[in-house]
Amino acid sequence: MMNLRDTETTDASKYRLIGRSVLSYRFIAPHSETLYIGDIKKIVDKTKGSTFFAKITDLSHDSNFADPRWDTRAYAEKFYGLGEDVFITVDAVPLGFVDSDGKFHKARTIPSKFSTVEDPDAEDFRFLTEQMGEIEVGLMRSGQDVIKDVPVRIPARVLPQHMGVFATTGMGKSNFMKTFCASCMKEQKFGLLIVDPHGEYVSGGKSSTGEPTKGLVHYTNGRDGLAIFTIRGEADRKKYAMNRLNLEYDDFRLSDLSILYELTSAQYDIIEAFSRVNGSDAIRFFQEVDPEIFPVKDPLAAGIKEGSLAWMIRNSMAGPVRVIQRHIDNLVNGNRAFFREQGSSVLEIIKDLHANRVVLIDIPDMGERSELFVLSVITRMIMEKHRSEARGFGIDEKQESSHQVLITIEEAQRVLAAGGASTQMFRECAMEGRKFGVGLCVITQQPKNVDAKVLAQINTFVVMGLGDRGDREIIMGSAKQDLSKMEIEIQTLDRGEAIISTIGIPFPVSTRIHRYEDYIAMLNAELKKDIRQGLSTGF
Amino acid sequence: MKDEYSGAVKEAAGRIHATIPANLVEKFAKTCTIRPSDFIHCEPAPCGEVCAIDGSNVMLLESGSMALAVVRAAQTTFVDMERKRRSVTPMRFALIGPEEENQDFPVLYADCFGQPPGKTLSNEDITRAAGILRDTLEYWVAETMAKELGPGALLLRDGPLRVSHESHNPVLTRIALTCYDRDLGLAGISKRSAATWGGGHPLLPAVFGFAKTNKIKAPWWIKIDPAILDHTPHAQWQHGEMYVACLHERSKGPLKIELPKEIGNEAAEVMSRLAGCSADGRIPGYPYPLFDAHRTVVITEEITAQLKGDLLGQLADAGIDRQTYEILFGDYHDEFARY
Repeated sequence: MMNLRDTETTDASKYRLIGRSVLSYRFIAPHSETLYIGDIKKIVDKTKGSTFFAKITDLSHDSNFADPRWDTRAYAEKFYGLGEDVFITVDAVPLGFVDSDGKFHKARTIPSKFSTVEDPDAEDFRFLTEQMGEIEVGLMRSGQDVIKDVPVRIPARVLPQHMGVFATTGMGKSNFMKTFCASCMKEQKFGLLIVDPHGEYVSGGKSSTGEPTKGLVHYTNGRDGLAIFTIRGEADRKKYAMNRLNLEYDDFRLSDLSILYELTSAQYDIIEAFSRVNGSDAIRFFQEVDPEIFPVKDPLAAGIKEGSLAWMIRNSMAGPVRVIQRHIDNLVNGNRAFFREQGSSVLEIIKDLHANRVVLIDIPDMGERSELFVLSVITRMIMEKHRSEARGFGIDEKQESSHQVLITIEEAQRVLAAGGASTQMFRECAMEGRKFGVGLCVITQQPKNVDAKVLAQINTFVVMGLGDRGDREIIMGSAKQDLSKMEIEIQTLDRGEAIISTIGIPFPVSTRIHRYEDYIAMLNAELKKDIRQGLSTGF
Repeated sequence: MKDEYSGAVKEAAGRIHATIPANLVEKFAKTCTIRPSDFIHCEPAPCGEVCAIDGSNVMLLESGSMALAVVRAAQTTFVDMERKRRSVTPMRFALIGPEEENQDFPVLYADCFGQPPGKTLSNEDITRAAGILRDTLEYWVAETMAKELGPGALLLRDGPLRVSHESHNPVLTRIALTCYDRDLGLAGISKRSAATWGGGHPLLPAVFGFAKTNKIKAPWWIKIDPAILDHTPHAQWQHGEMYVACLHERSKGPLKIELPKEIGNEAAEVMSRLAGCSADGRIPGYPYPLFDAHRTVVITEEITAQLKGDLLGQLADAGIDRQTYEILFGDYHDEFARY
């Protein structure tokens, strides 16, 4: 008897692995499916008992039709049976796999052909949760959604090995930094220095989109992890328990001028000559000296003693001395709010940093030059302190500093551009700082303008959307993990989203950064809850 | 030598041209007394449930004395634009020769219809015999679906409503009756037609040219009076009446459509439904379910290669060595093609 057999009514061709190599996966999905770049999928390999994870990197329309122009003909009005023959081809990049023992490995093998492609849940990422660090910044993102039970926490131990935050304006950089600060205040694993010339970190202000924002002082229950040094008036200082910021003349070195001003070689010669001179002596000298006496042909006749400061630059021309004098005059007068002959907060600042606090230098309305001045002075003094500590170690003692400090540099391309000999101190910090427990948090919207050698030293990348292709290529080429397949995702990152690549987490993690205000509300509530739990409820 | 070749090409082209002269349309209108009003415009209508049936046959092996054919048939059923069901018969192998009468035909026929065929099948024409074997499966699928489809469905066959072998005549009669009883539409659709008029002019280009000349907007259809044709179809095996239709304005050409003689005024409705399922962008002017049935049933080169491989293995197991196989079925053309 003849029979008529129904062909398969369910469509098994979708959501199964069809290619292609160890580093590149492919499967197809129904044409009507909503998928997003960055979606994470799990590939269940029942043959090997492993679960692979992959991130969608590209989506394209495809079909089984031999005619490549079937969909572009002018009379293509309607189509039968689109669901079977027309589909979305999904390209994905492997993240790694979990073996039958629950151990995570890098993707050095390939899943069996036709392994099923499924949506992972929080339980699938248990291995990742275990490997996450302490500094929470957001939740793991899969495409448009977040995986609620998988917080993204950057390991504190890798942060002093430099961190880069790369974002164009309006991508949520300030929100990220405040969230990062709040977690640092909570965990207190290392000291974090931030110089804020805009006064927005202390008590908030308005975001780039005009929304009111909160500041670090509003994280009340993490207040112990925060030290603020400010130039604000006494009333403000008392209200928020802030310290007065003071730098004294001896904190200053003439070489700090090279960061603040473009200097000629003649001016630079004077700086070199004064390299071992105390700041107060140098300032006093330039305040009193008459530049017109230079060059001094006969020092004895001019009453200049051998070994004096004037004698050290006796061959300089009057012009360069005059310029340096003017720069020092501007520096002293321009920073009168915190720069004085005696009385320095720097030791206190370093002490707070070594107590693993977030130290906020709040200098509202002081401008870019003041910001760099404060930053360069404190950075130099931290480096000197840590170097000095390292020199004190015996030959068999641990060479790493017990103190870990991360120094934040906003618009880092100003001081870390390629070939900038004048910013040697920051470059030294980038190249050698990790040996002394000093790391840089490099924040920039133009990574291509930052020295590639500096970028190569960075171990933690926080990428928050870069419109410029050159910037993206620099980042992809510098990160320790392969970001090359994630270019489309980087290009399409939304405000508040980031890709975090760090040596502590096994693969680059797409992250929805916590909204700072919501995050601190949660942290404050958590602590209050803890306090309530500690109280007796009975009489 | 060159002149001789050119002359042969020219003569072949000339003979074809004689059947489709420059004044084909004018001559057609005059000879057959066709008028623009004979063309009926139809608005595409929702096609509802449409079942399309097609078959496929491939010659696996051929020797001087026999051939091995493989045949199968399939149906695909759509409701509006989504396929609801698709099914195929098993592959059936049939040896054509070396006897004069085909030995597999009665077995296949009995498997399908539960009784022996009324007439045997000759192995003389291998291609025709393979086609009849395929038609046997196609008719069985059509009869099966005619019993299963919901009332009001449309049953499409790839080919005419005319049998090529006497034993199929009662089957097609039953199919037509079942469709009538169950209120199903039935249509046989052909991309080509052998029909000619006026002493050898092909029908389809003439009808299409007439419509174009007279700016008749597609979709349209026209019923063909058998009296205008050069050869009247064999009435005994003919179960349909001939229509020519252009089902989409972007159609590459018209189709020959055969509808049951009893259809009467319902022809317009069937044509509208056919137009409704012939707007697919991949193949405008051709009913998509038939295209899908073709794709479902076709025995592709890959399938053929697999079948040949399986067969070769079985022949080896049966003790037929490679050399004997080559003597029997080897094709020197394959060798020729290598040089």
